[in-house]
Amino acid sequence: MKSKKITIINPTGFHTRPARHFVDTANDNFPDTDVRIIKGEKTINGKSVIHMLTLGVKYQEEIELVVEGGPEEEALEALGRYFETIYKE
Amino acid sequence: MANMARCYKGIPASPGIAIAVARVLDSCDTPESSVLLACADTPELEWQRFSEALESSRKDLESVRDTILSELGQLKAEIFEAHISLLKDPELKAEVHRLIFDQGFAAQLAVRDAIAGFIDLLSQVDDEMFTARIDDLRDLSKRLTAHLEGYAGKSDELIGASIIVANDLTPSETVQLDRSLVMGFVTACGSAVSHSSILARSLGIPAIVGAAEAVALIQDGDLLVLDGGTGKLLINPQTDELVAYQNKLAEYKTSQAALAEWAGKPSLSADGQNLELAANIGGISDLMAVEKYGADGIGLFRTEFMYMDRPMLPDESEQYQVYKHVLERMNPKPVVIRTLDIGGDKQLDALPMKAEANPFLGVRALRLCLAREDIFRTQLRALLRASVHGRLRIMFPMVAVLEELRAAKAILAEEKLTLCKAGIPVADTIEIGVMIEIPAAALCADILAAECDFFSIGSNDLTQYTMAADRMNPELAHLNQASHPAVLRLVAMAAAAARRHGIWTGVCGEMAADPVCAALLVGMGVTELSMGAASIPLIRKKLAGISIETAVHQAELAQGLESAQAVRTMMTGVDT
Repeated sequence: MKSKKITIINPTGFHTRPARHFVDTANDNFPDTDVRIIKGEKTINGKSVIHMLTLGVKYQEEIELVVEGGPEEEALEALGRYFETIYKE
Repeated sequence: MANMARCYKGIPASPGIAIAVARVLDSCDTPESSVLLACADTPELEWQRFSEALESSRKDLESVRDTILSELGQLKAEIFEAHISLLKDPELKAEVHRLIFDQGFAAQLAVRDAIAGFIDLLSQVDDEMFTARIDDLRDLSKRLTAHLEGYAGKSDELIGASIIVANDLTPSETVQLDRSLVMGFVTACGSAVSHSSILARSLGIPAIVGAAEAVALIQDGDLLVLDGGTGKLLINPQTDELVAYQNKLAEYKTSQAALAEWAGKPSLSADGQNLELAANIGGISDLMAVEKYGADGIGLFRTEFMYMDRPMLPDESEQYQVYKHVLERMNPKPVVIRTLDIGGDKQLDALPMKAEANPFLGVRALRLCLAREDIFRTQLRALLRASVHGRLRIMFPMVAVLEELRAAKAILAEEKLTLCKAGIPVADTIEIGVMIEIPAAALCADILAAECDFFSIGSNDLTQYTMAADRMNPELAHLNQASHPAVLRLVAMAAAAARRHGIWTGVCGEMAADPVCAALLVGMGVTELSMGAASIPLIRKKLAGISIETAVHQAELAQGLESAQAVRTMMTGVDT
């Protein structure tokens, strides 16, 4: 199991489109990895769009990304990047 | 059995005439009772049915997405990408699995309850951006249920030319209609600016919406005559009515065919002066028609549609995407984007406004934007950022006095400076225009012309304000006379002032699409006419037959006549 804490720097938070791309990447590229996102006391399934949306991640909030199984290092790197990006469009 | 002949009126959503047999698709909305009463088979079988419904829904959605992608572009296709992602959701599957295996639910009921549960969860999130996705889940629930109940894709079963009759059509249903067989559609819900209406216009399918009474009465197999231009709908018409409409349809087809060649021609007067025949659009989906009818640019992009029918105002990035798409697709042709024109007859869910005694004379358009600078600045930033992707022209609506133009320009300049400092590129030249729709602006046009790059005459409002007659009031319809000399003189005054200051004048109201007025406008010095794209070939053909000299002469004569009727008589007399 590997994890890392990330603060959201995108001014509009983590909205629908990046959330969907995150979930698609998690499902398509890391089928054997369990992906969880922890925000405060809530833990959700990072492979579920619906779960991601219910989390409502906003600007400057901190989340923890947890991956387990499969290529953990790569998954953490690839998936973490979605939270660390500023979406210009 | 067939009804007696009846005539109804709905909201005209997409022009054109259709005569065909009714195909009622009301069953698309699953009755709640049928879901609740569904009998569960063994959990294994129910699970298998669910899995099959998922697979069929995915196939539907992928084909819709591909159609949209190729016809309407990436941005519209996003909605369906989102639906496809939801279908793959492991939590959705897990919940349905639990309900089927632990509760012994039938697949329909499991889907309904699982999705309802997620909708509940989403409603609690304190962010409207996410709660807007609730509609996606509802659409998905409807689609899965349709597959489970075994009547999905009914429109594929059309056996001959039909007019689709339904309570409502979702955008995906509209796109899926088989265009070789669907001659038109009628729905009980919707408005002229709802998504399916806009799509119908882009796809060229005649449509009437908001015809609840008629939809309730129409039965499968009734003969329908649908006039999407007027909103008139005949159910089982009398023979004479039918013949009349058949002739009208034939005429319409012939005239469209004859005009088609004009879509590809340059816009020139008989003596070779270049004119710009542009299109009015309400969003990206109108661009297909813009391309089809060969517009020389966009003369009016009504951005308010982007703000309507939604719980939250569109943010900068969403607006930027839309403006960028339009500018890129039209480039190098120019695009006039009008800043938010709301108030009067147009209200926003996302921005409740105080009731006013005279909304048309109230806090609307630029007046509202100057009062709510936050909203205005967001739009201006999105426009400035998009400006590097094409030829942007920004237009301010409802300018009455010079101070308003100066205030708007000052805010625009501030935003531009901020962006430049942040290193975000902005186009060097963006033309700034004033919409001339208040008589005060027309009368003092010379003062405004000194501080802007173009005028665009909003003839609908200019007529209403000149006549002091509410254009929404049917009892005053006789005063809605754009060709009255009073309106013509104001237009001429504005165009003349523009020319003295070396700027151009356009017209973006209905007047531009009226063959009689179009010639007069050109005669008054208007060089850009913007209209619904479908009118462009007709106006182009009309103007190609008139020399500027003749037009100038006619425009001078028209301004001296006693009435709108006299103007029309003179013009049609000269022409025929």
